[in-house]
Amino acid sequence: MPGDVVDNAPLELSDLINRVLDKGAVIAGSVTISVGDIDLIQLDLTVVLTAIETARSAERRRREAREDADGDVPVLRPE
Amino acid sequence: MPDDSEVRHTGDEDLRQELETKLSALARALPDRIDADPERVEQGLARLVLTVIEVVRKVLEHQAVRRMDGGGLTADEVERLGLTLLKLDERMQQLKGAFGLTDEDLQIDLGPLGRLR
Amino acid sequence: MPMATYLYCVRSDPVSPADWLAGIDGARVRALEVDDLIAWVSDAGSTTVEPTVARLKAHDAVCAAALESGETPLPVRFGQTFAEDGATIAGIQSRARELRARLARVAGCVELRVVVTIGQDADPAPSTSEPIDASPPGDASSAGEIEGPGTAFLRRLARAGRADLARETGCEEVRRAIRAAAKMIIVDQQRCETVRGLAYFPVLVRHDDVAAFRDVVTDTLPSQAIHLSVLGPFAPYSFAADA
Repeated sequence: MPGDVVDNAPLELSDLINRVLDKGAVIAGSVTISVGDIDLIQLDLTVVLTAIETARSAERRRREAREDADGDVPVLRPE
Repeated sequence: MPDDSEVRHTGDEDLRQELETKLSALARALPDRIDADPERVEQGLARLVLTVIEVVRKVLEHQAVRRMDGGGLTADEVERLGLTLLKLDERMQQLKGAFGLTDEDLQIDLGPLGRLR
Repeated sequence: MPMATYLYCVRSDPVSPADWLAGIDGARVRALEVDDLIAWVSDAGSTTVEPTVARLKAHDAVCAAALESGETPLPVRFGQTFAEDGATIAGIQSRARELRARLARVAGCVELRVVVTIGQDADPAPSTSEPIDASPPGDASSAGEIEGPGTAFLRRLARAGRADLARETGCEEVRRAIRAAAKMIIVDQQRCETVRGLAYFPVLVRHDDVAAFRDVVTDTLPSQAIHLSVLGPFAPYSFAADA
């Protein structure tokens, strides 16, 4: 759903970091050190705040949209 | 009701166990080799040191909270411990910031939260 | 400046990346033969590739393209570089048996990630970048005392810890429910992780079962306060390393 892409961007960014930085096969050579929440990227804390804030407002909008919908695809209202 | 020395003893054991667990996890996460290119080895080692400090620091924070919640500390002790950890946290944010990276993309993604330091 | 080889993924079928596929810093992605395996690589400026959002996205985009183009590839972690192609080949050869075993394990499958958001979090994750007041208004104790900054800091950590724990517990409950409902289509899965503000668990499902899995998640409505998102499909990052 197109609206979700806008909503989920910070969530997807957080997921991207968890996936690509924490997971994946480690073969050899140089590697970026990252252990759980700890890594040396400054973006962490702010991304976390955004992800939660956005998830909350997405949740609220979904609830509102569900209340309004007559079976139509809900259109995301801008904040 | 356990006396203070008993509480501390239990606290120390928790601390030791958690350090062991977290440092083992870190050891497993480390690469087989660290880039020994003379131009980069210093930065590589600095990042390694910072990571180790961060692992230990998180454990200390966690244990401090446990002791505070467990009632084994006086208000004064809580404040002193908290202040130490607070200052350490601020210092580490500064040091990490020196290695941290900003990115044009990041500004866009953060939107309403504004610029990242 | 010495060149280096940046590694994205390893695959078992002889498929090369498309001409237009761009990787880290826009470098062209190419295929490297390693016995019966194929590695997708690109040239990097140095063996140290710092993570930036753009580079993380580039790495992911290459693995996504690899996933779309044939057999499920094994994605490697960001930042895997070698001095040159020869070292890359040698590195992969030294782990070939492991890699083939993992490739067999993920064959025909994709990774989906179920993100669990609890709508009634008491507090966001710890923000130690917040300005510290000597007397934060919300933290004054019932006795009217002003809390010192050290105590306020510890209290904030405590709240965040409880929030994390609640998130993880909630996530595990969801995982149990979904595991039961989707028994037949879940090839593999892992425990919940709460990291960087996200509570999620990854599942491995067959490529054709993605829609069915999404349906199961939609039908699992634990409570009004819990919101579920299914991210993916991705190349199987979470199932590519040691258990």
